[in-house]
Amino acid sequence: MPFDQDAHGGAGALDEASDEALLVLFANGDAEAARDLTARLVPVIMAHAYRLLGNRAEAEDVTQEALMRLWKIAPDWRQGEAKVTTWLYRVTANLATDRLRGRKRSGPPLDEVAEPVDATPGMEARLQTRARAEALQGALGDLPERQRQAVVLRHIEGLANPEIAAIMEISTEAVESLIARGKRALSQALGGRRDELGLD
Amino acid sequence: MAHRDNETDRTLEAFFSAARETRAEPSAEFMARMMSDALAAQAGIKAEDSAEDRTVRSASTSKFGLRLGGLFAALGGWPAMTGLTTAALTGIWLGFSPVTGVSDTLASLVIGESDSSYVIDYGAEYTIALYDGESE
Repeated sequence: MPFDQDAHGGAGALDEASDEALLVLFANGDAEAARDLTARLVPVIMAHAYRLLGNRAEAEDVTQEALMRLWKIAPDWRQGEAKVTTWLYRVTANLATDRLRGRKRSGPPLDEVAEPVDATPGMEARLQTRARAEALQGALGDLPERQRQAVVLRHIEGLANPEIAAIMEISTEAVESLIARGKRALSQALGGRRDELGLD
Repeated sequence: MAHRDNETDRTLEAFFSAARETRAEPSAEFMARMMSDALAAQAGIKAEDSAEDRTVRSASTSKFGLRLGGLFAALGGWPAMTGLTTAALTGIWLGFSPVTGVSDTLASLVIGESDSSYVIDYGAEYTIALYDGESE
């Protein structure tokens, strides 16, 4: 990937710095901190936005808006109060929710153009993986927003329940409940496709 | 029941794993745009900081000006300043000019007389001859 953290001159001193420390440096005018934070956060937020929206163009718009909001509040960021990613996940979810509500009024976005299939070894396995991911994405799209957000944060982003609770501003018990109901619904939606997706 | 839950978890994990493997990565063009946004936002913060510094400096100068203005008004304004200036200049003039046109008595009080009239020789009366314990 062209914008890895090493893209601007190898492993720098800032690579080990926390997002919060980098944000302070960003607000103080450090250009390297701006590049490091962008390289670090954009892929995470873009992936999350895509999971919530299922559409790349919309995910890019939401990512751009979320990051712009972060840059704006950078001078007022209070260290120790929250993690930058916690704040960003929350803003991203709110922006995605706004998009989804807009969709209900104006209809779903246009389908994305399918990526070309390459004919290299392992192609069948990759197609299988992609088919499963797409099936999951479709089923996630049918979940209520809060269940979808909790399931994605827990099982795809790999966050712990207390952090998810902080992002969603609810109790850990409520997170567990949302995840349990979400998984039950996903299991029902995907159960009939086990054979088709090579899971038997 | 537990067996079925495990089975469900295993199946779902296969889907979650597939989702993790096929994460939507940002394109190079999008990343370039985001980098550009970040640097532009940072430049905006710097510009705002500079503008705030100018405002603070200007406010400080105004405050200093206001303080001097307050002192000036408290002293009575321009009429009082005229009187004070005259008094100060008179003091300076008196300090430097020679004393003329005053009586000798007054002059002697101002500049003093010759030292001789104030010198008293105590020696004759108070000299004590320590030698043999007798006065001279």
